[in-house]
Amino acid sequence: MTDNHVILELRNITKHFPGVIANNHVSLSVVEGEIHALVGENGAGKSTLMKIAAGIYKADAGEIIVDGKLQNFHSPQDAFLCGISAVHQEFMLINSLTVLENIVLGFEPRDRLGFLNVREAELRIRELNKKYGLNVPLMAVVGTLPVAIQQQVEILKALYKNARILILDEPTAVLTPQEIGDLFKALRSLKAMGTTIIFVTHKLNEVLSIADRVTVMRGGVVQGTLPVAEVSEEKLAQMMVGREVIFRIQKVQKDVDRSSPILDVRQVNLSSDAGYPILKNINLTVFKGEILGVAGVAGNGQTELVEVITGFRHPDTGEINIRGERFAYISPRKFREDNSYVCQDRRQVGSSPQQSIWENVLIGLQEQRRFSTRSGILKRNAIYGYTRDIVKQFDVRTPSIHTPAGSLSGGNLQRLVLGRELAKDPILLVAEDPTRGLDVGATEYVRTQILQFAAKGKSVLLVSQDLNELLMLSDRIIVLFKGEIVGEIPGDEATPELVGLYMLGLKRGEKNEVAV
Amino acid sequence: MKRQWIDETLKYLLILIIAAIIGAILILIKGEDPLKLAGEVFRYALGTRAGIASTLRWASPVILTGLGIAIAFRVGIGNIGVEGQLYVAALVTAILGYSLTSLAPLTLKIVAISGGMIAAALYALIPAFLLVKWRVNEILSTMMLNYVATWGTEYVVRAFFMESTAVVPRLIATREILPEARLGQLMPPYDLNTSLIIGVVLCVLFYLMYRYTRLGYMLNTLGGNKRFARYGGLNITALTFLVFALSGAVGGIGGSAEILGIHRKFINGFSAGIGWDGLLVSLIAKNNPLGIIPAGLFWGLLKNSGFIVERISSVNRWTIYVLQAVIVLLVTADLYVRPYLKRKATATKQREVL
Amino acid sequence: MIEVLFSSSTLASALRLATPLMLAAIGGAFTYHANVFNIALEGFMLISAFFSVWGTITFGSPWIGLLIGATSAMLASLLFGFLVLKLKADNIVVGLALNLGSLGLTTWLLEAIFGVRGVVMVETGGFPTIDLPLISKIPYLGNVISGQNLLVYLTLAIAIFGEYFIYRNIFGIRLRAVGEYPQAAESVGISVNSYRLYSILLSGLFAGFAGAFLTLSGASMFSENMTAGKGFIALAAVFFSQGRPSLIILASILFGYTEATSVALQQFGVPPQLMLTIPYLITVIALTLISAFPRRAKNARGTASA
Repeated sequence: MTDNHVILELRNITKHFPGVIANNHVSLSVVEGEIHALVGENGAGKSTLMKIAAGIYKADAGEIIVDGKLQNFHSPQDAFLCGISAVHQEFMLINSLTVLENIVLGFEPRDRLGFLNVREAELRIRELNKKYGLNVPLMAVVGTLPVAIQQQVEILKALYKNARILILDEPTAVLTPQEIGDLFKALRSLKAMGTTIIFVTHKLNEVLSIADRVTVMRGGVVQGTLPVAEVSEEKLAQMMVGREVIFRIQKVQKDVDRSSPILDVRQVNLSSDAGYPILKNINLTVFKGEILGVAGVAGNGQTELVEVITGFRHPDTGEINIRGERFAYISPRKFREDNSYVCQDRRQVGSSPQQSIWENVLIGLQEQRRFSTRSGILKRNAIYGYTRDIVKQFDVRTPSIHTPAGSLSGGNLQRLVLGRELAKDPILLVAEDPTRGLDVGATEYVRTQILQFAAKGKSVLLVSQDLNELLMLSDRIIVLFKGEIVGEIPGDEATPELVGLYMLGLKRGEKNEVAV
Repeated sequence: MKRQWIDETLKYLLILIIAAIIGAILILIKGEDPLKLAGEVFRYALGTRAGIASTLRWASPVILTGLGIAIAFRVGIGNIGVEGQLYVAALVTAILGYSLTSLAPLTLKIVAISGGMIAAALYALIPAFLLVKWRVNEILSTMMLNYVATWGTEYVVRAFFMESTAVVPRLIATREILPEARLGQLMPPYDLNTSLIIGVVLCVLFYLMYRYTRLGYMLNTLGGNKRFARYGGLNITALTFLVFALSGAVGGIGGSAEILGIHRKFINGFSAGIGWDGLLVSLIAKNNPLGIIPAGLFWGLLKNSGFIVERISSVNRWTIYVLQAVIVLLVTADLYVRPYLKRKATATKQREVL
Repeated sequence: MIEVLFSSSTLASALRLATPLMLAAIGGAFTYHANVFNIALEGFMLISAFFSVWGTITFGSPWIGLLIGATSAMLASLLFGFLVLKLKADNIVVGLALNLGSLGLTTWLLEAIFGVRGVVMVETGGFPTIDLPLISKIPYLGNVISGQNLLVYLTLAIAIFGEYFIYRNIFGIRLRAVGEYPQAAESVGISVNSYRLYSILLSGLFAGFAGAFLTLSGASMFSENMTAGKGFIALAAVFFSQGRPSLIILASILFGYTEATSVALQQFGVPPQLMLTIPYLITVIALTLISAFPRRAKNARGTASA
């Protein structure tokens, strides 16, 4: 390993998406043989930068320099040819092909007739397997393998193409701690063999345990690059969020009435189609006036929990009580009668992009007599009036209520969605990553709205990947780990470190159940 | 908004010109004079009573089948099985039309058509059920069920309802319907009948339904974004069944009307592809119910032109298929509207990747 | 009646009728794996049917006819590919329009070139039939298998080779990758559109062979709309077998058999129509079973994303 040989340099990379600057004059240099962590919150521009480095996106401006030579990537292959390979969050694997076929795909050793030379491929992959301490069954069909092994297949795919620079985009998001350990072991052996690794994450403890240097991004801009030996989690966290780790928004005075449960989930179990348990014996209660935060590393059952509560999935067993009404399962329609749901994916699920704003607001309300007659004719004026009120009250910036919702910016769309969900005056609000991808202004607006809503004596179940958000808003936090509630922490006792320990499965609460 | 209108009109004009040029070449090669022929065709098709009646006669069924298909395609349901559904409708209508002797003429027509609609709707519910229950791709299942219906109805007629004793092998038909069941002619003595009015009225009604009613809103939402519709608590299963049933029933009228208005009995192979034509009409109209009317009339004109051309020249009427194909291909290959929309969609998608 | 159902002549004609289905279905298998919905097989067959007759009459050899027919179908498939891939037109609509256009064009050509309506005969005859030396001696089987048209044997060989080609050849592996997860294929440098185009051209080629077989075996003639829905039966065979050439052989023979018996059983008063629904009914049932009992790999995909 040559000391301080800069193998990859990104200079002044700028990338715009409609309405957003994802990367604003970003520069980054990566030294050969290091593990370079790239951290930042969701939406900080890490993934975009890495997609540019891997040739998937093309930068609007800026230079990519590999081994001192200016490169111009038009496609991922151009990046391969320079030795850069990326493992994406979403695996690029063909489920019906075997591991071997997936690894060699696009770079197949062939025999004289153009058939796949299985023997040669096998030989090379076994060698790689051995060299890097990986253990992947070559003839297995990829779709039948667990996620952690699929990830190894992705890494092998990169190594097979002689990647010298391996970009891993949030590789631990889908792994258990045990599997994370294995991954780190593999990464260390890759490093020992001279591979340079760029490790994208937003988990600071991982940075400290695996990386040599770390670059912090925030809002599309690099905040700085530091040797890991010189930083602490606090320091990194501060660079990431740009202020003290926990910035409290104006806490609104509010009372939690612990005698009136609004949402009460009892002994819910859920397994996947393939029979894996996803949710195990979930018990939780949200009281009147309370914001209950749900924390967890992505993929530990939060999404499914929300789906069960909002009626998108039927639990295998258990029951859901909402204001004393009991359901073995609830339908989305029934759930939304008196409750609201701000879902994670506001463009694909929470709105209908080609339809107008008023049509997006009307959803679920179309049966109400104030919006349609008994015979089924829409009352346009009432609907328009109601929509205009929401647009005004929640400050949705749009030329007209007839504009397609898809033309709104992310922040405006979320204001519209939140407005729609709050204007119907629900009893319970379920919100899933409500500020994901929003700018600072919109983020604070959404958070304030949620707090004010709870202050009116309403209840909120807040699921978020943003720990700050949970700490800021929640009266209580429960932590999901591998589909189980492993801890419950009162809001005023919660710290990122404490919640983090539960999230990583390093700590378990004694009582698994929330007292009623 | 206005610009878009002009763009659209220009585009359709351009498509017509291209099709006309290709048609002219085909005619020239056959040694006929395309200009003279075109003049003759227009004079017959649009300038004579018989020609107008014939154009409208051919427009009538495809307006109905086109609307039936548009109802499904609007919400993203690929019911390409209208051709089969209309055979089922036609058979039931024919049987009702000759067996219900004691009904008043109007009641008889209504019952016969309704019976056909119900039968077609039920037949369309088979792929709906397969889709809802097991997610069987409805495009494939409806396509296959087309042939099951065309051969199946032929079998049923032959086995149970065959009328003529003289077995002409190619003609498998039921008994003739009662005179009271016949749809009224609009321009006697020509075949054109009240089914044209039924089709136009239905197109307008469906247009109003989509625009002004609760059900229309729900269907638009289902078509706009299915996941959003589910999120909003719409009953997707029920709506899916409803759309299949409506699509089949409306398309079915197209079959029933051919029986009551034209053939007066169920004959095997009577449709000659009006279900497929409906698909192409619906495409030209971009699944808009109001657009179905001019698109259907245009299709009728083309079809009629084929017959006229064959009568007055040496050009085969099937040549018109080439023009129909060219027009449809140019309409789908929408040269500049599509790429624009696509760019917009990817931009939105990319932003969410952040 | 049983005698007729299992007579060697019924089985032999089943094999003969299965051959064009098999050829077209193998073409359809390529587009199936590339995830291109291809209902233009019918049109490709019809175009080739005409041009193979034209080629045979003009050049006096069915082999040149076959070549010209297949080329014409490939040109039609090139148009299909251009519209679907380049101009992003809808698969179904393009397919239907091409079918319609093929019908119009071939009838027009029939008149323009041969000056006839309806039918044109090939006086010089079509492909030779072949007596297999040893197999023809086997009592029952010999009558079924031996004495078939040369193309029948070639087709069976192509189908068997096709199985290996799609599942073992690099082209086939890439094609399936393109169909299943285009982004992933693109990420390793496989051009999705090129592979889709190759698959469409191959579907044209094999549907072209099928069309040539229709005209140049047996009666050796072309008649208006002579494919009469055979392209759709072939498509049914593709979906029935989920694009596996080995199963396509089976499905085609089964469908060919129903066609053969529908004719043979008429003498016993069995209406042919019922038999003719069978390929489609079976395909709907197969599609349902495939969807109702998905293979495990599909489930695992759902879990991975959860």
